[in-house]
Amino acid sequence: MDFELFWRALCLDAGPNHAWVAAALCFLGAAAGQVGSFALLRRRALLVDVLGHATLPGVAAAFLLALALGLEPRSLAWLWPGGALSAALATYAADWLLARTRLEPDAVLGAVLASFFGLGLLLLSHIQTLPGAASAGLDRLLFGQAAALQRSDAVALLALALLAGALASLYGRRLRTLAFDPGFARLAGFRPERLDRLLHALLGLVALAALPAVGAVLAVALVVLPAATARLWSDSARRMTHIATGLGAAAGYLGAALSRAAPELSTGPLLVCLLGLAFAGSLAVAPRHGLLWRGLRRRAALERWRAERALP
Amino acid sequence: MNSWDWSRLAALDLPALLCGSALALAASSAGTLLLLRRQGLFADGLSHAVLPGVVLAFLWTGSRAPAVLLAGGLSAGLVLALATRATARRAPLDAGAVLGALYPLFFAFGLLLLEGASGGDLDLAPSHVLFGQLEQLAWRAPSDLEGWLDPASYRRLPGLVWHSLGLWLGSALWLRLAGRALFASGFDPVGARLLGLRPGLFEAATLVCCAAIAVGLFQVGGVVLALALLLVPAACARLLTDRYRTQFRLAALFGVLLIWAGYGLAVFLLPALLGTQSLSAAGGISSLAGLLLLGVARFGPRRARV
Amino acid sequence: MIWLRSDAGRVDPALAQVPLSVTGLTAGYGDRPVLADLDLTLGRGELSAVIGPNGAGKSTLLKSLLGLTRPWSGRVRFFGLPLEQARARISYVPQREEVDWGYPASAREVVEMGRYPRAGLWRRLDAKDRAAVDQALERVGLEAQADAPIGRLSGGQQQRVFLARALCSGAELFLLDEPFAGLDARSEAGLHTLLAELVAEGRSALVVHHDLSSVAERFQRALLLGGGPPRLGPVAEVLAAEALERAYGTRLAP
Repeated sequence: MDFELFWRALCLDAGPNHAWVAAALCFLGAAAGQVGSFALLRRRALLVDVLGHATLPGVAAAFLLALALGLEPRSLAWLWPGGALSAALATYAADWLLARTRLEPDAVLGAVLASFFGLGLLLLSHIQTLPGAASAGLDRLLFGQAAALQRSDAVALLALALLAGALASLYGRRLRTLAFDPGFARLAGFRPERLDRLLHALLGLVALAALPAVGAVLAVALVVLPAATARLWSDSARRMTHIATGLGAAAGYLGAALSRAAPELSTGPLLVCLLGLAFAGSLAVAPRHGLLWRGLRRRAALERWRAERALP
Repeated sequence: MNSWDWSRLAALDLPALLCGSALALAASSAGTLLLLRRQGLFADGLSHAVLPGVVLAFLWTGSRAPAVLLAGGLSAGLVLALATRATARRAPLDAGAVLGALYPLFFAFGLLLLEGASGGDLDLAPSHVLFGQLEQLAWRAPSDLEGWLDPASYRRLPGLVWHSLGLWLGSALWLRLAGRALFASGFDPVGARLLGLRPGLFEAATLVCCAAIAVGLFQVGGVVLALALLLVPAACARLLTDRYRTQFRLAALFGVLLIWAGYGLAVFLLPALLGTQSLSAAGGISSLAGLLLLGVARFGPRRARV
Repeated sequence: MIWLRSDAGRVDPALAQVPLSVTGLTAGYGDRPVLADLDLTLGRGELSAVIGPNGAGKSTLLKSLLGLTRPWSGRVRFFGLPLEQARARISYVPQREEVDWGYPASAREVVEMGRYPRAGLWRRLDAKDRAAVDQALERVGLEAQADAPIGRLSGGQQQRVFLARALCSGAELFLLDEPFAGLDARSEAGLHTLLAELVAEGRSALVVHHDLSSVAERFQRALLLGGGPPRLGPVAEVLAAEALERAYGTRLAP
């Protein structure tokens, strides 16, 4: 890895494209962290994995269709809608299976994930046999390659991320209430079914946007890890969301720079390992829940408890 | 329809089908055990988390022997299990959230190692991780009847075939030995413990078994095949019967069916119908698995929610 | 046999006849204490209740006794022995919603589990085992439903399966977590009668009970957990207005 280039990339001095890519990844990370907080509170982590993986067949099909129609097959202009369609289909299939059978959600989601992604692999294996380096663009969507983003793609990604972030901020309070206290949410007039659908749509949006950046396979980590880490630092849902957003943004920015300096590596694994370090570190040292301070916290809590109940 | 070239089939397809069938049989039992314990998420976790272990084993020893990679992948699976338990106990996150955070992380780490170490070496290419190598298993098949009857010819089968057969036999043996204990601990681990059935021991050993099978599946067919074969045959069986033993038998049947049908689809049927080259067998098997599940859910005798 | 644990152990002679003896139990949830310095004893032939508001630590108590959550400190003895050595004499009936009723087992198959310690892991169940199982099923009134999948049993019947299993394994101490919750009046009365009979035969039972209104008629002694210090004693005493107010008045935050 080129450290000098990494430093320059951090200072946004690594070429005209990089500034846009860094911005795009930064806002993507922020949106992922924000939406991820709701997903975590609502226990939807596995659904995000399904959404990420299930984009593959749609993307591959769109690729083939564009090729057949003589269009540029690697353009996100049709790859994204293709991915969105198959992800939506997967959600529909999962919902149907969950409603109709007694299988546990984890099994259903895992099965849907595997079969949709398998279909995607089937199509991809065909694309890989086509002449030319046609499939290279598609391979990049598996694990992400930020350094290969064109400016137009970066701008589009930025737009998607901003959209997701804006919607999440707009409905943030309601989504948080829903996550913490669904009963109260219903009483307060929020409609849980609708909010859930909105949440799923937001997750899908983020998963789609994440395709060129971290890829289909690792999109889930971008969404879940910042939120999980934030949870270790705060018990307040609101603050947790803020921390997750910030963490995601920082990771995105750093990840873009790393990717620029090491273009032979896929961006997805780089970014996710960064987030993983943050998670592991927080497990150890975060004051609220880190292990280091557990003994002290318990002792303090016990003192308070005994004092409250002391006999007169 | 052209006449089949049997010798070519034997050389190119027989190892894959043998391997796949053995693994499917092992995976169906492992998957049934996991589903019965409502640990379907762990199948997902195992399928992904074994990667860094496999890569590290290869990097450390330089060998690609299935047993070596098994040791690596198994260790990674165990680390995942321990890390999940330790974290869930201490953090305000439930086990599902912890697992959902950890297994992609493990996978990403494995990919990073792979990409960092491969430097263009195609054999280690990350896409291998997804597609597996089912279609690439080949051997020098015997050319005449004498050759087929000679045990020495079978020694030429790829190591993975023996490895898979071993996994199958091992898991079948384990089920036989531990069947009663697992029946009890799957239902009620606390009760099993009070009865002195040592659920901790048996569950841990079963976990190791499942992880070994996951690594085997991973080596042969990649992440997606591992997940599909662990979950779908077991899920279909669960929808069709209320009896314990029958679930295992049905799952085994579905597993083998999927291997043969999926392989045939990807390697023969689709290329013949659409004029493409032979496609990813893992992809074919997994796609078909999804169709099977939908079919059983739609047309099977209706199993209402309990 | 190495696959099954053995029962050897040193007995604390003073406590050998006391089914349950707890001293100084402190346990919590995460970093929040829920029980502190709790003392409790349960004698033979006693049917005692654990009552208190939600979050007061009733389930935490049971789980700490069974080693399902690690208590922060304290000493628990069953018949003078630690859990591992006395486990064969204890039986636990979990809350209904914690059980996987979708598990592919019939009532009989669950009750048979009570004979596994005697039969070992591989020996087929013989006539003696089968007779014991039939007897247990009959005792709890489940002969007719013996071969039904457990998911099809009614609430009261589901509890009885666990009791039958306990009879098969010869347990003397029963720990039950809200066994009467969600049962209709008739089932509740039937289950209580069965429990009272089993206890009268020399066993003991500690029951986490959810419903204050029926404690007095169903139990002799109770342990009240909650806002004030734990109160253990005859039901009438424990239910005195003042104690209740303290327990329920200072609600623990969720």
